[in-house]
Amino acid sequence: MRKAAFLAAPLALYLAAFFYAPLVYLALEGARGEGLVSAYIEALTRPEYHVFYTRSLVAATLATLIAGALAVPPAFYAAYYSAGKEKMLVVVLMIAPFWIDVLLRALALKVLLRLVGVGPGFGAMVAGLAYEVLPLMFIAAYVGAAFTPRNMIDAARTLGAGPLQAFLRVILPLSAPWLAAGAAISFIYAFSDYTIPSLLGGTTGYTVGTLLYILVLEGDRWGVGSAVAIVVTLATMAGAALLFKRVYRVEAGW
Amino acid sequence: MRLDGRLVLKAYTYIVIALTYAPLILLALQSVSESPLIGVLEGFTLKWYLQIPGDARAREALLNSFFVAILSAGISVVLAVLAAIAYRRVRTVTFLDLIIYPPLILPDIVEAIALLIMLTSIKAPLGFYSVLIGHTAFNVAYAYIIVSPSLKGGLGVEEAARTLGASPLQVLFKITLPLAAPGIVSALALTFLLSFTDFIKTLFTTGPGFETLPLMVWNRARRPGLGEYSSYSYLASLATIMIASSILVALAYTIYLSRRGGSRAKH
Amino acid sequence: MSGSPVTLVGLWAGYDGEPVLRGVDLEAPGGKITAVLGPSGCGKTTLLKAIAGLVDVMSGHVLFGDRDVTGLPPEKRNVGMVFQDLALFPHMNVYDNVAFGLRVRGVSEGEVRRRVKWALELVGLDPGEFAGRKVTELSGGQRQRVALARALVVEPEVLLMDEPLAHLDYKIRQRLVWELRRLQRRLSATVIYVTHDQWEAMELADKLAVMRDGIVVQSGSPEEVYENPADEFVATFFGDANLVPGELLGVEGGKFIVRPEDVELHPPDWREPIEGFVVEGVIEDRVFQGPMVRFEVRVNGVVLRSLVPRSYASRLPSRGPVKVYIPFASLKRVKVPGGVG
Repeated sequence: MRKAAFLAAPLALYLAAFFYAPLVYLALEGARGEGLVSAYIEALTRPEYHVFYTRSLVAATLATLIAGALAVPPAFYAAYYSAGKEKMLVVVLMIAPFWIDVLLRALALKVLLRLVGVGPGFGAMVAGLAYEVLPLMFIAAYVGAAFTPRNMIDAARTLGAGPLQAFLRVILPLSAPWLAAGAAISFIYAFSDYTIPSLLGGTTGYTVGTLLYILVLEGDRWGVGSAVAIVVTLATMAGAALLFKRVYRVEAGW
Repeated sequence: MRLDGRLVLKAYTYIVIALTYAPLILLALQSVSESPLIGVLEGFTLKWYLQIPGDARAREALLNSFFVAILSAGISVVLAVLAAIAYRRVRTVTFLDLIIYPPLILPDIVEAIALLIMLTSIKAPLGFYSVLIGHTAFNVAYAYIIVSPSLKGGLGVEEAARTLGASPLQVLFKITLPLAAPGIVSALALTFLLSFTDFIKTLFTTGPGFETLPLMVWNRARRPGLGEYSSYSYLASLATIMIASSILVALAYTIYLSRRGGSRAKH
Repeated sequence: MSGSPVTLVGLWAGYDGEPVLRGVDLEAPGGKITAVLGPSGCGKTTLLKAIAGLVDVMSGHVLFGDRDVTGLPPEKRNVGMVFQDLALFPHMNVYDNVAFGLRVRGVSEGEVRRRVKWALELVGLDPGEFAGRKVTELSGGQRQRVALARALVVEPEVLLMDEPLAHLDYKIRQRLVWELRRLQRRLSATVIYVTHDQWEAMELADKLAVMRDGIVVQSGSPEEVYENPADEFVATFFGDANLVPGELLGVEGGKFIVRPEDVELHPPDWREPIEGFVVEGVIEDRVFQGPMVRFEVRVNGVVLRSLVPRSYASRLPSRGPVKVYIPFASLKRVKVPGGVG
């Protein structure tokens, strides 16, 4: 085993060089030129930026809620009320879009929105963001449900709980950490996305992703851009930590 | 009453699935529509697809995408297989598990900006290599989580084969590799497609003159027109090809996964 | 709490339109333990779930006393069920797990406290020590007790137990089986206990039902079933049995079963009795089993197993010729189980 450990080195070195080292550069970028503190102060306080933040905040919150409402019932249906081929069908169909790049899904959604008479704008953008994070919410809810055995419902029912009570007192509390983690990650994705706002946002598509694009690719304000990106990173890590704490606790067995 | 609740849930589930796939189907219809205009779906034609070979910019972008994707897939799967072999006997959470997940979870826009800043700071040129490096950074992580279980799965059988008299080399070729093959093929196909269709990471890490297919589609889709190569229906044909390949590979992989998971969970 | 009798009449039940139970008839007497014994996959668990209301009943009836509960959802049946994996709620402590059934019934908190304390004491857990503990921190035997307390606290009409001891060590299992029996006597509860372990079934059962392929093939007191197995399957699944072809006994065709303890072995110079079947055999193997010793004896090409008390076994050789004696009363002609062959 120890003999073979060096085989993992190329992958570890690759990630160190091209994933972790860049994050260090990102964190230090503000220190050059503009000064680290002032970059963060500008990123957080400049009034022109606030409209980007608030718009992203509202859009990402709405998108996460919509995706949750759409994804959670199918996840429970797949986990508890279907079996065999049907279960596989639901899971596969709900997860497969995860592998289609957001750009392509945005182009597709644009056609549907046009057909129902919705042009680019805030509504279209929220729909797009919800469409983007839907598979993520499904995965989180389904995995959470999969870790909560069907027997839990049966036990609650034989003890006198109706279907709704069994759901509220047993299934929901047991799934809650997964749903929260899924929602956190979905929120971060929607909050920082650039693809959807650029194609579906129209004139209201000025979100954090757009801000990053403007600051980094158009405006050369890398210091402030990296400050914004770092804040997004930290928020993501907090959400992910929540998830993994849960995963490892579950794997340790209860 | 119990049955009714279940039926409502079932109907809801299939409505969500229909909603998920409706846009993809409509885009495919758009790509065979006579009209170049978005949302005008009429007639049936393959003219938009037949235009692709004549579009010099698309040809170049397609080749760029293809070379980046094939190299990225190859490199990431090789690195992932090596690492998976190193850790296949380890059952606890390893160092690698800790460093492998952040690239999967961090929004790609952040990753992309970070890589851009670093490459620029060290004065590395932006273009083919920077895009390849960027794609491979998330692809190695995907490749590892796909390949690793398929290499771990064979351990017990390998020990059985050894006790039956097989040499280590025979075990490798008769047991280990055949068992790991579906995982390795899945990883190659998925990483290829993730790279081939990637947009955000490419947008931020490419340099002047290097355009991939998704970038080209995006550039034109922002200002669709009536020109030969800028109509929405033409772009839809390119996007439909990418979506169809993604969904086919993704379906094959998730079916393979759930089959394996299902058979394991049964008894 | 003196439980009701449970009656199943022509019960067909299963999942997604696929029947697992194919016409089960069973009467589980009130206030007694009925053990349901069968190989894995025979439908034992589905039987319990059908009684609890957790699977779709296609036809037939489930009666608690005179009450037909066939169409009722589980929460309206007032059963207690101990699941194979116990299904304790991991997000609740011991107290909340046991209190669950009372709280969903809207019992006042004061009454909940009193009843939970009663139930924990009943199963031998000190409420002061265990009430606040997380269920994840308990040992297998303690978790088992919590699951039992949780099922009993609502004073169910019938207690259903699905191989609840399958994952425990032999010693703990033995102790819990004895305790369960005492507890059941004290409460006169109706218990339906599913197991694939014949030792557990013999220890617990007032009544035994043997299942196979979705039906109850035989039921009765354990002694009745042991003495008069309905067919070859029951004979070999509940207890050990030698299958003796009729030719060996000088009878035309058919098969007879003989319990190994009824195959007597004697030294070659033994004086034969007037009645019974006596034949020369050769001991091929001897296995010490504590109170008994098991011999394998070849008789005219057929190998018979014989259980001999330890004290008598010392008079027999480990290998070599021996006299085999089977009293006529111990020979039972058996049917080959219908259909499956």
